[in-house]
Amino acid sequence: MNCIIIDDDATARLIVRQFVENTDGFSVTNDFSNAIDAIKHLNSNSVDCVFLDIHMPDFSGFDFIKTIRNSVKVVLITSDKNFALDAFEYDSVVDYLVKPITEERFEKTIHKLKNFVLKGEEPVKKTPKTKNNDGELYVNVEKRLVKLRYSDILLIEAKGDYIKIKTAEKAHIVHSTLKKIEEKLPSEIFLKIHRSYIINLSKIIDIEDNSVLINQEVIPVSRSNKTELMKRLNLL
Amino acid sequence: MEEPNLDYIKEISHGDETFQQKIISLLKLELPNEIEIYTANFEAENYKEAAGNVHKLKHKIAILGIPKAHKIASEFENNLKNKDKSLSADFDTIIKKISKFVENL
Repeated sequence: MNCIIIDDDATARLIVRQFVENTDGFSVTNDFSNAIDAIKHLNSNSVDCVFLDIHMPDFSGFDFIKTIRNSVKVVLITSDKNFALDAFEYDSVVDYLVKPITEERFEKTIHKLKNFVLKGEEPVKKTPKTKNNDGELYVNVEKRLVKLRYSDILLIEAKGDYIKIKTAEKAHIVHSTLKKIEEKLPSEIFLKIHRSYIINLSKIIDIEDNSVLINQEVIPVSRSNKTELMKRLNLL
Repeated sequence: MEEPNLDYIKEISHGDETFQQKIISLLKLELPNEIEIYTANFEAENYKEAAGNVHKLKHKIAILGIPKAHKIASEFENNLKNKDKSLSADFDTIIKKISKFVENL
């Protein structure tokens, strides 16, 4: 299992690395002193598990979790037990470890990880925060992580190696693919209607033949996606 | 008062001396710098930043095997978040003690 470690404390990173690398079947592919570098790494590398310090300056562990896909499992590391109460609000969190980490406790974490990842079990599900338009997504725009609320996103358009995320105010160009962002967005709000477009269903003004109108922009609907689109509408 | 020690580091190293040396080198490198940053923030009354510095130092206190000192540091961190300096003298004693210990490793 490929793991990365994110902690602003080099001593803590070294200790976690020691624990992980002494565990059969686990390896540390990289470690990072900040979450932003780790997000960039995750965009282009396959990682199964993240050992993540919660308390980091500028961009906390919880901010980081909001940016990653649920298939990456997270073990939170904290010096403060109180933070652990928030840990299981997130589907990707498998366990938390309190510093200083003991071998006995680390073994329990590994056992949980093996169950979740190798046996395909899912962590205990909490009420998803994506059942309404209140969720958010962080995107990397010119070395800044910009927070976009789902409710502000009108549509996403594929542009070669980039995607254009359009809100009413502006368009954000992000180095990513439509497939990646589709995995991140809640399917009850967003729908891919064309190989180059994902739309926020609540932003549709009208539909005519094989196109939808969103904020003065006409978006094509491919024939194969039209049926699903019509199913999702509350038709009279 | 409890004394700093390498028991925890030795325990998790399982006799791996390279690992032990790496940890000791990191402690020697990072600790003086982290203490300096904490002191500057505390003296400038940047208590929120100082609390963050104490948080980071707490881990080093923990791995040096002094749980009572770790508890004081946790309390001091919380106090600083409320601009309460009341445990600063105790914390200074702790950081002096671990500095001396790490210097002599």
